[in-house]
Amino acid sequence: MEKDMDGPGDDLLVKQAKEGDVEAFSELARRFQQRIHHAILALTGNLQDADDLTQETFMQAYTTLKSFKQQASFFTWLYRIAVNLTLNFLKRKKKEKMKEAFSENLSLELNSEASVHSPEQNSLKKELSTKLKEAIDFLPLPYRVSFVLVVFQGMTHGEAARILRCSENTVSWRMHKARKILQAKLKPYLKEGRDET
Amino acid sequence: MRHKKIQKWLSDRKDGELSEKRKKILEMHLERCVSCRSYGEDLERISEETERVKLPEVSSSYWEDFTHRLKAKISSIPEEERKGKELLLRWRWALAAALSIFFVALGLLLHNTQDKTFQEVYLSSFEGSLYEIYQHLGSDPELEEAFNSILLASIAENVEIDRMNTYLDFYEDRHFWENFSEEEIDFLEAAIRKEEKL
Repeated sequence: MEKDMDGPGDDLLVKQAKEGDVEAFSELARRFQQRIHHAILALTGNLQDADDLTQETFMQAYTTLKSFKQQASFFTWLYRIAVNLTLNFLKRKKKEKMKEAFSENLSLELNSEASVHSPEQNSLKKELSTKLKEAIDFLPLPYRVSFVLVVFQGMTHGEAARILRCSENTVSWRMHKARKILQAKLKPYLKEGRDET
Repeated sequence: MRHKKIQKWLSDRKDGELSEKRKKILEMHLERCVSCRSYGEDLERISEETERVKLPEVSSSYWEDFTHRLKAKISSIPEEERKGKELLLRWRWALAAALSIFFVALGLLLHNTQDKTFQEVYLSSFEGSLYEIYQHLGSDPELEEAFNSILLASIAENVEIDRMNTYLDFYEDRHFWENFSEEEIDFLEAAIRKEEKL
């Protein structure tokens, strides 16, 4: 049983939580809630949605904890729940999103036309940051999830693959494709930035 | 094709997933390929900018409230609801075990029934039928005696037929004589009589 400086190890807490120890589960939640929330927030881009989905993640983890066979780490298992819930949530919102995407892409095109020719480099920098956020939000879901886990959560391809239940090679290709899309979308802004430096 | 591979390697290198050997090949390629070098610079820029992307921050009081709400929610979950999956799993095992026992029992039953049927057929054909007849004749000794004599006569008749079939002499078969001439037949008859006298 693993133990660390901050108290009992995850395995022990999981065992206690399985037996119905609410305190033990609350401690597990305290340990992982910020990272889970951060990943969900990066995927949804909305604080309220992130809050709801993080709560739902822990609720589901608590109710199904007895089925957790501890073959993977609790952290990986928890992430799987969070990613699945978030993906389902985003798919449900897909129609709405597509409508938004259409209008925002339209404005992106119009703005990019204007900004490329803008003489103000500071506004270009700001614009790049904004456009990057938008471009990440509009990445296809499998690419976005991989990108968030690897870039924002600092995971290795192997760790992301275990959560997404796919091969490392798949994560590697998704990362490459995601970067290709981002580079294509941000090309005008990147060019300006390079000229500036 | 080669440029596509190099661009993929640039992405892998950014994530720290590229082997040393490939890193060297990549560097060599970048020294002489302007387009891949430019793509690499774009990725670098995107990476720097991504690090600057800040998600909305939440205060420590938010997390206190979050934990409090979560604890209240999970405390209200009935224990039966938590066992849902495990119970289902247990029931599945119980069902599988019950079905296995049922099929094993059914197999044994069929096997035994088949054996019994065979025995019954066998007994009713021979010993069984005799036993049943004697059960009926037991109360009447005259009838039993008559049955016994018929049975013995039937056995004797069968034995006689068997003996005739088994011990028939070759010269008693009429077909034996068909292919001989008159002189030959006379000669053979004389020889047989002579042998019978001996």
